[in-house]
Amino acid sequence: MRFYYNSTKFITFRYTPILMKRIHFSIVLFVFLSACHLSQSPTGIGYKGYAVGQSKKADAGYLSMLKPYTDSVDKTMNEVLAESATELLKEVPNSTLGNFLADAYLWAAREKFDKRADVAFMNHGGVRINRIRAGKIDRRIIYEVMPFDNTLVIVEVNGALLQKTLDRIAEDGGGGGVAGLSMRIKDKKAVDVMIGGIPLDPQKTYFMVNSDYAVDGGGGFNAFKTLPQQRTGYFQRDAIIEYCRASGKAGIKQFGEPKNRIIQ
Amino acid sequence: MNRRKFIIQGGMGAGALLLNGNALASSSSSRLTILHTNDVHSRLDPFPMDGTRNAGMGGVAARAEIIKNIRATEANVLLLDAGDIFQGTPYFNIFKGEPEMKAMRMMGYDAGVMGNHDFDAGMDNFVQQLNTHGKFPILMCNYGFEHTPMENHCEPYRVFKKGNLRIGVTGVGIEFVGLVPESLYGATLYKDPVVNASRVASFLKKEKKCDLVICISHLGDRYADNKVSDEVLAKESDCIDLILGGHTHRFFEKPREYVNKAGKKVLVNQVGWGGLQLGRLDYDFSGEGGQKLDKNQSISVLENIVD
Repeated sequence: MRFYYNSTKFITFRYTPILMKRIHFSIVLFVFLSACHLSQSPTGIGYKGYAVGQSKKADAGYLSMLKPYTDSVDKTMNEVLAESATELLKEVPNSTLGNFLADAYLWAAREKFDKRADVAFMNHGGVRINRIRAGKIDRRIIYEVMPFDNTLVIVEVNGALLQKTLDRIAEDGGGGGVAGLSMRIKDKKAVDVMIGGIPLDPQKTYFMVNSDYAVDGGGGFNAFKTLPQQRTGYFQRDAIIEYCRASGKAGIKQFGEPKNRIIQ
Repeated sequence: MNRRKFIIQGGMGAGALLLNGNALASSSSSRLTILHTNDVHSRLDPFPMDGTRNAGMGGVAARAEIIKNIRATEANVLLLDAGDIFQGTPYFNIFKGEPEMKAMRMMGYDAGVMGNHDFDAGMDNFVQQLNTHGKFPILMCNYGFEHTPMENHCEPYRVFKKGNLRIGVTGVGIEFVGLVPESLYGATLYKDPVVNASRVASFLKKEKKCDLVICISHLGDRYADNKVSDEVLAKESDCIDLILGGHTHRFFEKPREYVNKAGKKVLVNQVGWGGLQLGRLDYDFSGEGGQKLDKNQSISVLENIVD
């Protein structure tokens, strides 16, 4: 206590040199802070997720920017191709929406490229919307369900490899789309497999319709790449559009039928 | 004695003055508002009025309105996108990304990364749309774009000065195999995102003296197997503060919190897809006495999912 008092007194007594040091320090600090940036740390964080469109308020500038694009899109996309009596859903194990797409590929392959096409596939992740509601099917919804410029490839596969392909689907719990076949999932394997109504023959050669994406290893399955194949260059999307248009003209309103191609 | 006290305070005042940019604006220049989107997938219009859950939601005009209002009250806004701008509506099939990029430029996006679908109409197309209409930087540290159309159109990081804050931003993209056809990614080299983002983040924090380091990511939030993800990146890095993710189309209720290799807190967020949600994180650096956010301290949800 006494020492403390004395030291304070001492500082008061030697006032001028200390003051000079303080001024000097301030200048150094000032120069230092001017030259560098001292990192700061956050002391509080808040989060908010805005549901866009909930307030119904919109910036009109964007609507006028979009208008010429929208007009052009509408002109081509509003064309009604067919009408569906039922809602088509992306589901597992059996997807009426996926099967509808696979039906379109099988139809297009047989109509335009190779009558021998036996089965067709649509990969689950490639189905980009969850449903097509009952009613009119227009071009727009087809672009949304299949926006990719992927093309149809017809590959010659033996029955054993086809079984392996179906086992992979079974392992994932079904989903995607299949056409020309039916199967049951048992212990993550495909059983009771019927191709065109006949049990799968491991020795037989089948003609499989798939996308260039899948054949080239998309989704991680590389077994098709080197097999004999026909690259049609025909968009999957065009196949769906043509299939719908032809069905519409023929008055067909049932799609994704028969149901339950993949059962658990 | 009084005079001495005054001078000492004056010395500290000089520091405080510089840190705050100006003596009056204490909090506003020390606060950062980060806005982010991911996987908008060409959803320029609101979702169609078809009676489903998302009917009438989303759309660039509504998003821009929200951003405009935030900019009107917040001085330091950083607007970022985590990839897959392209692909999903006929707009993209017909116009190859032009209106998407135009809208992003109008909203004032500060930076973005390339998602796997941004390669869909070719890299030449992406570069053309970006340079003609988007005009925001692509920031990625794990794609080698040498000898591709993206060469000279991507930077590994950028430092944004907002108020008195320095914000370092880098980005990472997903591996192509099984996802993007080789014909589209061409000579692009995929490099380890954890190694490269950690290296860049460390540089941004230590050399560039950034107050906050953000990594925009198209890796995906997390996977059942050990595939690299935002979760892995958060845990394995040491200088990233915030990861704004995409690819897995996940709606988070609020940002996930992880502890990194250095024992510090890392936040990860993602806002679904289709422009249905806009994420907002407010970072306040103006706290008294240099008190730092404790790693156990939870973030506050301001007001979730309300427009």
